[in-house]
Amino acid sequence: MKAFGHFLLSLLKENPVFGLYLGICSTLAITTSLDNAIGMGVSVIIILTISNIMISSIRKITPNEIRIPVYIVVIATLTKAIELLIRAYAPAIDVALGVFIPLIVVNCIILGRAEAFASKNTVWKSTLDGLTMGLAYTLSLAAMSIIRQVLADGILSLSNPFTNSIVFKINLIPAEYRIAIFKEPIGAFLTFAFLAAGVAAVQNAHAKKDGVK
Amino acid sequence: MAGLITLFISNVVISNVVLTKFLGMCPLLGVSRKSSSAVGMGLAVIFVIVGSSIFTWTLYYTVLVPLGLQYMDLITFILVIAAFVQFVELFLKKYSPSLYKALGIYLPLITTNCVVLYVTLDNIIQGFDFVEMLVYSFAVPTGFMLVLYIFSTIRERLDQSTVPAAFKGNPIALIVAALMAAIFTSFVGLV
Amino acid sequence: MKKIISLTLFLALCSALAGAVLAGVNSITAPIIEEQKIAAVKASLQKIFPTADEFKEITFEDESGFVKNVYEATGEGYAIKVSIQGYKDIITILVGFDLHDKIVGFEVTALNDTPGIGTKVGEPEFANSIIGKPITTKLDTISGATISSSAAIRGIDAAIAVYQSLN
Repeated sequence: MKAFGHFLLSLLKENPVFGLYLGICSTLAITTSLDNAIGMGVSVIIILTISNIMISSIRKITPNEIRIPVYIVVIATLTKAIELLIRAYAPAIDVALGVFIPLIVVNCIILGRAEAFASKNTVWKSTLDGLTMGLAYTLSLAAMSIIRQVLADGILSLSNPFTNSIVFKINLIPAEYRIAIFKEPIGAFLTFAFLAAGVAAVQNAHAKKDGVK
Repeated sequence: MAGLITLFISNVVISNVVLTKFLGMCPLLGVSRKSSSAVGMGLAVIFVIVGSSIFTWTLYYTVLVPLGLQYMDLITFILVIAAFVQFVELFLKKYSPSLYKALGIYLPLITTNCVVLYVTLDNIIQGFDFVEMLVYSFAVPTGFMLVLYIFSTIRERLDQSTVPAAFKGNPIALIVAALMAAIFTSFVGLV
Repeated sequence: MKKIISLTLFLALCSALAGAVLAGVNSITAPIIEEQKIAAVKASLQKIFPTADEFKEITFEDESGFVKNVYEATGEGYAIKVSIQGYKDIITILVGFDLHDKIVGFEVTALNDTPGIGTKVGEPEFANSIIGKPITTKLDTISGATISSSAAIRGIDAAIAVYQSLN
């Protein structure tokens, strides 16, 4: 139980999105619905994990001078493959996420983890790292999407992108009280700012606690 | 001609790449603390985007399409961009070492700047011809530089005011971005 | 020198492998994607020409830049897709013409505008003011939604120009 609490805490303190400000472009752009968040999150988990696995497997034979272009080729290949697969089997996500699917290749999280972790660790550790980082990213996206979608559309809903069927749809806020600007850029920036401030507050509180010790 | 002017203006202020499409956020939060480095960064990005656009657009229509290799676009475009940024790095190191130092780690990071890849991809998605591509690839980073510059002047002031601890640094910057986004929406309908 | 050659070769090898993987994925997904593209438009085409059983996409000449696709409903007419910048976002409209210079269909397929204002372009009232009219009619903008509706009308005019070049 304590380990789970510890995991949750590091999710907050070392949050890749709201703590380290990585991958923020897509976070701001697509978090207008929970469907988008999950679609993007799962894509990133897949690309990040496989990329970590591949880069870790070839870490001993990759010449140091060209390692960045090699990582880029790996990540770009995975991203394009995912883009084609999504376009064919889950077109609803393709339409919703649009150009942000190919832009996953420049999501700082993926290249960052490749350089900082996968290139220096075993395949098994890199796999775990990819999964945890990807999960942390997805949860952050989901948090932001839930806030924005509930405030702007008043509903919490999830649909199956492969069959276009609705999994659940809950009406939470009646139409007159909905705040439409949360769908707009201004709402995106505000939500992000407050979530980031929240994470910073947690970090500050813990820094103080560790300092006092 | 009128169409090209509209294309330019609408992409600088109306559909501003940072405030409406959320691209270029990393350098926005990272480089925008001093207005002089903001301008330098902006100019470097304009140069990289225009250059990469010309290369990638030409590559797409003269090599990828005839060979039916459109699916290689992502890999080739990002490699062209990486090579171009490397070239700019070497160039600045030799001819403007002060700017090179000022930009620091953010110069190679232009490779992962969403705006660059976005413009090269969008040139194809929108089906631009050569001239439209030139105008667009000039307009988008100009809008980016505009926002980056305004942002840095505001941030210089912000850094000297009292801000609640949790909001210090990036969160308050994002609130500024929110306000700028709201203000820029008033440009809609300009053209 | 030898170093540069070996580095380039390594990168080239990686790119070649990448290309092979993508070629594989592409060959699996490309036919599915093609099917979807036609299926997406077919629903709207069938709405405008309910009795047509064959639709073909054809080439066209367009000066405005707004016309994106032209579909021929064999024996019945043409449906022309235009995309034009509205107030907030791009408006995509499918305009249907019969073979006798009459507008027989008006479907808005993409509209991301201010609810209650720009979205009036997508409402039946506006469509009904257009459907059934000869192509020479001067169309009216919607008061209060001038920007979006005049954009839609500019798109319709571009569609009319292409229609005239075909008929």
